[in-house]
Amino acid sequence: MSSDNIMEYSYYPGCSLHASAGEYDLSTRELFKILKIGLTEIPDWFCCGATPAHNVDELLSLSLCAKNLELADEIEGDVAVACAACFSRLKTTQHVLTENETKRKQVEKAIDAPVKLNSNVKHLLEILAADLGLERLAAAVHKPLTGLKVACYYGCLLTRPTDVPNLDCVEAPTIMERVIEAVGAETVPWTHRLECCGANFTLSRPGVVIQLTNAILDSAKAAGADCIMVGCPLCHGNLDIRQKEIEGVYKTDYNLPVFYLTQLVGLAAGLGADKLGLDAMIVNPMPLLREKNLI
Amino acid sequence: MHAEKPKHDFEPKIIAFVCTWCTYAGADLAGTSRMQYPSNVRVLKFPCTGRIDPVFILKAFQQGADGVLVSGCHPGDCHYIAGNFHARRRFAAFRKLLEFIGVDLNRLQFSWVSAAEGGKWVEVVTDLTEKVRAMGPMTEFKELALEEQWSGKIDTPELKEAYNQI
Amino acid sequence: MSRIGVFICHCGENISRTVDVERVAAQIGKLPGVAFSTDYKYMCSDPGQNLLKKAIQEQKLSHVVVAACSPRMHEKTFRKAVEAAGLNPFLCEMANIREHCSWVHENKEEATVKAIEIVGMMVERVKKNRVLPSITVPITKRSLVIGGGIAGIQAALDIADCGHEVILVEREPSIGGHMAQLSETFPTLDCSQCIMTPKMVDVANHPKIKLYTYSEIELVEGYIGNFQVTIKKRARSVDEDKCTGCGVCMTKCPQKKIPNKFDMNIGMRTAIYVPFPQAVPNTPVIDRDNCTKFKTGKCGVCQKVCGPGAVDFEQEDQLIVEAVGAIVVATGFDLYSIAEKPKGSPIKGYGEFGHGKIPDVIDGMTFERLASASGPTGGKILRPSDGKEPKQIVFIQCIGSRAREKGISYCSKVCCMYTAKHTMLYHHKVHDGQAYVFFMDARTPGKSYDEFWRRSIEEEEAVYIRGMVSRLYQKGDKIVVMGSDIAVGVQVEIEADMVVLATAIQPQKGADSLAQKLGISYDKYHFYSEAHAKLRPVECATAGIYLAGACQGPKDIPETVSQASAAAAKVMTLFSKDQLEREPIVARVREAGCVGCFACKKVCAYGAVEEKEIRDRQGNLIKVVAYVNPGVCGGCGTCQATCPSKSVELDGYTDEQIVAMIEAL
Repeated sequence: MSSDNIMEYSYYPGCSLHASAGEYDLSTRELFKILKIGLTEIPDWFCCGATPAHNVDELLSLSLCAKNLELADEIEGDVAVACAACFSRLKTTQHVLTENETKRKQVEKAIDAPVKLNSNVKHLLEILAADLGLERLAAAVHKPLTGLKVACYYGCLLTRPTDVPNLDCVEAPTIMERVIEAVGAETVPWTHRLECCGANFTLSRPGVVIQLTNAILDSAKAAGADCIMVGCPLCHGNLDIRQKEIEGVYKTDYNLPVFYLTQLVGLAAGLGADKLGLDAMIVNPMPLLREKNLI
Repeated sequence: MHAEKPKHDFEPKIIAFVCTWCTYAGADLAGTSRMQYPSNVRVLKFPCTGRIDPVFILKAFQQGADGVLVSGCHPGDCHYIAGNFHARRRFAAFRKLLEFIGVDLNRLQFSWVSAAEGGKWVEVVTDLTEKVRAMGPMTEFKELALEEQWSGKIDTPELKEAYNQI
Repeated sequence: MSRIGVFICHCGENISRTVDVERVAAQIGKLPGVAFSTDYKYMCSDPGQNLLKKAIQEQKLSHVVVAACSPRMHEKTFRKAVEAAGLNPFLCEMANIREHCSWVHENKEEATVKAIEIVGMMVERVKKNRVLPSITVPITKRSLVIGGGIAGIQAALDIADCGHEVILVEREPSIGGHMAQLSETFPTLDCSQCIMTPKMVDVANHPKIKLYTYSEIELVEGYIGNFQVTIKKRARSVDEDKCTGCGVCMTKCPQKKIPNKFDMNIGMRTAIYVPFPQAVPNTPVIDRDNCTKFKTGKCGVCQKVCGPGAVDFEQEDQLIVEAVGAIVVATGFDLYSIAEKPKGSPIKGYGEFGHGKIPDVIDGMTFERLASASGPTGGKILRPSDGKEPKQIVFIQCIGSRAREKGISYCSKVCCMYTAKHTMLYHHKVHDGQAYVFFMDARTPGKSYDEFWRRSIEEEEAVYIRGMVSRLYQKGDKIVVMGSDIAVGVQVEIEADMVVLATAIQPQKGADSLAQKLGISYDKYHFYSEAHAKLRPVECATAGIYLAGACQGPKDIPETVSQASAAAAKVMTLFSKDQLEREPIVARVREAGCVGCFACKKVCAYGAVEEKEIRDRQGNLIKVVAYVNPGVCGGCGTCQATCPSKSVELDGYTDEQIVAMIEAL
């Protein structure tokens, strides 16, 4: 931890960022390093239960998150979360355990420790837009993303349900647009910013996912976007990995690179391709970035 | 129905403070329906439970009541819009005070009885009477009242002697 | 020393069967202060009442206790008899030994003992009873009606037809309200203007109605029978006395592209304008914000062309004070807007519907203007964006209503019916078009209402889809409607040409500040509160103020008209006497003890407590005390139990009386 950091956070990467979304993890750490924001990975953190656990056993899901929050409490600073699903689960747990005393007691019994609800759980977007602030973010830009038309995709979990994550307006959020415009990119108004991509059905019912994700890609393309920006590993998987397959099914050609928000912001902040994990992307972003003189 | 009434060693005095629009009318309905209940209760009619000063409850205990019932309109049904809400807040605080000074709160009951609930009136009165009967007489306030009466006036040798003889 | 007369009633055998009435009379006769005690078979009968009257006079009785049935039954009877014998009626009390004693106990000994105690308590109470003179309040027999929609118009006409003067105040330049905007009305499909405009003309021509349009309530002082109302009459810039309503000014005005609020901003008007051709009064108004003369000082064409010289740019707002005895509030409703709402507003907009930025997504009232023969399209259903006829139209119900997430949990009541009407009007005008309706429940209680709704489906071919819409977006010149059909369990997507939203009914903007001026209460949505939801639905808790129409809650036209007539009936009841007489069970303040904390004012549900200044002879302020207006006091006594210095007393239920009863135990 270098002493000239301007802010400190505990960091909950979540399972995806240590696996399929390695580039999200890498770009987050690198970006925060230049922004002088300290991230201390929570020691011994484990899975939040993601989308399956709470469908099977609510107590299990609440307890997993409560335990992680207890671990996070050991480290100074708010909890920084990158994955939209982790963010949603941790926030929901805090909400439920604050509102419902019975459940809190059950969870305390399950984790054999008092529930700690003091830490503020924050998505990276909040940290960039509010804690750091758009002005300081803009000041850190070396290479503005001028001319790059970005379709910001929120998916289901970042803002929903009403009143729980409180990240931004539930039905008409703007936080992603504000962040990426601050680093010089152009955003496109489009219709499917908040539609579901099919999420977990990608494994059990790929047909559903192909249909839903196609609608999203189609809408972004129609709006004139060059690429899509996301803040959720699962959305990323569906939009990026499935894109070729979808193009085949619908006999079309999207060729829309799907970036994590930290990749695009990091690019503007002057990080090289190697520190952004651009090689991990299935839809190759290089032709686009070269065309726009960004790399 | 007409079985011989059991005799008891102790018959408590119950005072009921009720509002005229709901509970008094509910008690009237119990009467017109010829329902039966213990004769221990004495009803004092108020326009609204909002009018009932907590002092009246203390006064009733002091005057020898063994149990006190306060009853009015259900929340939201107040003839005077919100009087029963004010009463509810007032008595919520007052109960704590009574508990603090050592009155067994089982002697004091609050309830909502509407003009249509003759049966509920009978139930409430019967339950309270039986509960208080089992508890026995309320003596604390009577003794206190006696002492107070004396202490203010013991200024002649005759009174002092009389007081000492008690 | 009081001379109390006690009369024990047998009630045939109803009391005497279980209570030994003679023993009661004998026992009570021994109590100090009791001068006369007797029992009688039927106290309420004529001979019984005569016995009472005779005893009062012969025995020179000072107070009376009648031990009989419930006071709820015969208190009035006996108090009247007592008054006839020359005593103040409030010196008579009843002891209830029937409902509370003889009827609920079987054991004669127990019942008799209890009866003696009940009567004894009332004897002690009546000793403390005071002479209470009846209270009278003078009544000004003029009324104020606030709001000139159908509710206000109906109430004003009913009151005025009874011969009482009415002051009708309307905020807009013309009366007529929302009903004047409607095309046809359910469930009969008669044209709204055809049934509305004759009533508007009646108002204008009624000798007993004084109409103030383009005016607002500035200040309300006083109380029932005696209100002083200050009305702010905004400058019209046109002299109403001189104007003949010829309309030349409007045809010559160079500003012709100002969105007309009456046409839901899809039609245009001039800067000097009447909102619609049948306006009452037919005197134009200059919209100073959009008038070239007011903005730049140049123009003044209207003044030049006006024959009678009615245009007056110098006119100023006027404050007019009127004295009235009763007020009918009929301020009506406004529609929920799906546009983005300011932060902190409990009402939220619809981001998922584009916050109102898709031009062909309109609300129900805009559809009414499109369908209206006198509307901006002459009654043709045309899209605001390109003027094309929509061939696929989607109606969505419950927009904002029944949606806690959006800040409103109530049902707006009229939307199911007007949406059914809209599908019919659409089908009549666009024969090859198809209407879809997304709905949660069809709520059609009302005379001929369900039949009407069924007709929209069975005869007019509207397709009803049970389910809600999650998103609307523009795709080319279509609007994609993404929704669900929960009956079939599938997602539905319709590419519509036009979407009509049945947006929620809300109170008028500023309803809360008007309520504060009037001293009436309102709910969290700012709908005005009635005194009793079931039994006093047209009265406010504040005496002398009555409610009519949708300002109290969503209502359709027949209901609004009924309530307006009911409010008028209440006003006429008040005006039927020269003075308002009321039972003198009211609170009174002992000014010497009052410390001016106004805890009483906070708990008073009637707004009866006022602040009164006490001054010495030099006019210096000594203190401010509470004053209970006897015309307004409801008589609940909550103030008395609240007063920390025991300086307010409810007549008829004083502490003295209550304590006397408790001590009689």
